[in-house]
Parts: sequence; structure tokens; C-alpha cells
Amino acid sequence: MKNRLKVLRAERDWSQAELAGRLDVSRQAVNAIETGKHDPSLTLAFRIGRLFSLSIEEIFDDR
Amino acid sequence: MIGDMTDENWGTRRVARRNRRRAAIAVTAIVVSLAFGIGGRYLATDGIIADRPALLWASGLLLAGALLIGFLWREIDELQRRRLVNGAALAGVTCMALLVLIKAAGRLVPVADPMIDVMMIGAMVMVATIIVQRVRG
Repeated sequence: MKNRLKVLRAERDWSQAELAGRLDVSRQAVNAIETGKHDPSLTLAFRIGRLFSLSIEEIFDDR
Repeated sequence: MIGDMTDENWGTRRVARRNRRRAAIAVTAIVVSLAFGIGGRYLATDGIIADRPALLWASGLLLAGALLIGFLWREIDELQRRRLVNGAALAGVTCMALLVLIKAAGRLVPVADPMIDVMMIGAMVMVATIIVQRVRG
């Protein structure tokens, strides 16, 4: 699944570790989501949305 | 935590804290394994542990293992949990297949006690699966 996580992270000048800490996941998980190798659970997707004040659809695109 | 969250890099520090806790669990697991392994040798006579101490020892080891896995489970995230579950599933299927094969082969070639070998192979398959998943990202 495509997503804008890397762009959103870069806009805030956060490292993967910083984003991982703010989402309470590992840096590996952030990397796997950014590269599309892992689709986050609904719970984590909502957490990501809340962190960036965006809806899930504005971050993730399943097409 | 709230005081920390006002800081710009609180996320990085949270990851570092989590990593320290995971390292502490890993060190504890190694120490417990060694303690049970070395302790078991003292209980054994001619390589065989008497029934009751063996049962107590095995129960203690299982309890310690379950507690450590519980602590680790709380410290890892959904991606790491999925990798762990994948590894455990593949190890389980491997053990089942190996037991059937060894049972069948046992009719031709007698095997003394294959259970410990099957368990070791299962553990190796689990660790290898987790490592491969991690390397592949």
C-alpha cells in the first residue's frame, strides 16, 4: 500500500527513530511502512493520522 | 512522560528507552538459560536428573520462559510480533513434519530419542525465519 509517511516525516524534519518513538513502534516498523513492506494495523493507522492531524485516506492509498 | 513530550526529540529518547528494556530482557533470558543449564548439571547423576527435581526444574524453566516471553511481547510492536508469530508457526510446522518423518524412518533406522533434536531444529528454524524477515526489511 502506498503512503505519504516519508514525505510527512521529512516535512517535520523527523528521523525514522523520532517518528517511531512518537508512534510507540520500532524504527524497523516505520521503515517497513514507508517502503510499503508492511501495512499497519487499523489502530496504528489511526495513531499515524492523529499524529499528523490527517485522515487515514490522506496518508494511505490502496490503489 | 508528559514532561519529556515537550522536548523536540522525545520520540528518539522513547525508542532508546524501549531498546534498553529489550536489551535487559535479552540479558535476563541469557542469564536464566545459563543458570538453568548449569544448575541442571549439578542435579544430574550420571547424566540423569531424578524425577522430582527434574520436574521442578522443567516447571521453573517453563515459568521463567513464559514470563520473559510475556515481558518481551509487551516491549515489541506489531511488526515484530508478526515476525515472531511467523517464525513460531514455521517452527511448529517443521517440528510436526520432522516428527512424522522420524517416526516413519524409525521403522528402518532406530532413533534413540529424537525429541530434543526436533526441538533444536524447530528453535533454529524460528530464529532463522525471524532473521530472514528482518534482513528482507
